[in-house]
Amino acid sequence: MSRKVNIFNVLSSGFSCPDADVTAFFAKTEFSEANLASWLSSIGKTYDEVVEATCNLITSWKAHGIYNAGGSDAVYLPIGNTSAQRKFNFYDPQDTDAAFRLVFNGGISFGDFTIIGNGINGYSETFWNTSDNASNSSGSFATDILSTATSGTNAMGSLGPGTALFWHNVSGRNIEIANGAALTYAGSRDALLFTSRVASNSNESYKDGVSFGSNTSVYTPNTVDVLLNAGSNNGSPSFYCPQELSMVLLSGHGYTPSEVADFHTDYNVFKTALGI
Amino acid sequence: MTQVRLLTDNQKEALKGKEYKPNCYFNPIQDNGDNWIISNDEVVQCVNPTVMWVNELPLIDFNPKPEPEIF
Repeated sequence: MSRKVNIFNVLSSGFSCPDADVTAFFAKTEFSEANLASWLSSIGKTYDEVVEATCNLITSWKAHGIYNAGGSDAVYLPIGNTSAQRKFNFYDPQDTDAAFRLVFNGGISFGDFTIIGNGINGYSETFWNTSDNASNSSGSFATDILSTATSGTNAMGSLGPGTALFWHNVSGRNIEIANGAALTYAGSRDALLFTSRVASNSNESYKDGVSFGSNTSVYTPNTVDVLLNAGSNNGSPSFYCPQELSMVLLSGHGYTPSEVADFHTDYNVFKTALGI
Repeated sequence: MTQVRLLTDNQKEALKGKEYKPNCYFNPIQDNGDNWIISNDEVVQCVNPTVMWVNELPLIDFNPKPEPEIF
């Protein structure tokens, strides 16, 4: 008696995910069970648990219509704890600038779920910019910050003359998320910060899926790349930021309030499954 | 006080485009006195055998440049 096996959906551990993007991601050498073994031991999870959590996240995002919603988006998930693992854009996990693979510069380190800046000269280059990959009428930027540090004085994202999109300022005890003009959340910085532009004059910012402000600022997108753990000030890295970044989303799609809520809910299930 | 590693101009040029570990590149910057520096984080994580001389760089206190105005 023969047994049919779908070789595209069965991973080395035997867990089967129906999603081809998940299967392709974990088929990469960097995300084999052997190469994730030390990280799995550190976080106290099995390979199957991580693959299943990722499978649930991706299939939920697809079911909600928010997977790679802009068509050339980037999402950096907290899977692995080395530079070789944390550099990949899940939506296009190729080792190229065009696929928005991160390049780490200066003092960067890696926690179990975080990319950590040093606040001196460490940052990640995304190769994703708000002019080519978003527009003056749509775009979204999310950062999941795990750090509880209070010494951070800087911000990250992309900044142009007099304007800022994709700009998360974690100065002092406030979170400013700018879309042409700053919106301020006064509280803990351990949060999923989400800023979205759904029309040329409609910007809204969220903390943990809940809106804390909106504005009608109009601006032209910057032609410089978004940086992580630093701000790109007209192309020059500055505002070095010591926060611990877990997940980052860069999207050309302007997420609606219900899509932000779905994104947050789905991602929280993933975080809980991984013990974040 | 945070300490950083002091570079000469030639050393700064020598580190351009060099990895201190796979996928992670040195990023020399200038402090408020226009000295070229790298962070100690890059030095302690360095496994690139061609640039292990960074371990001999002098330590100085970090004196950052003022940040530009955001808005």
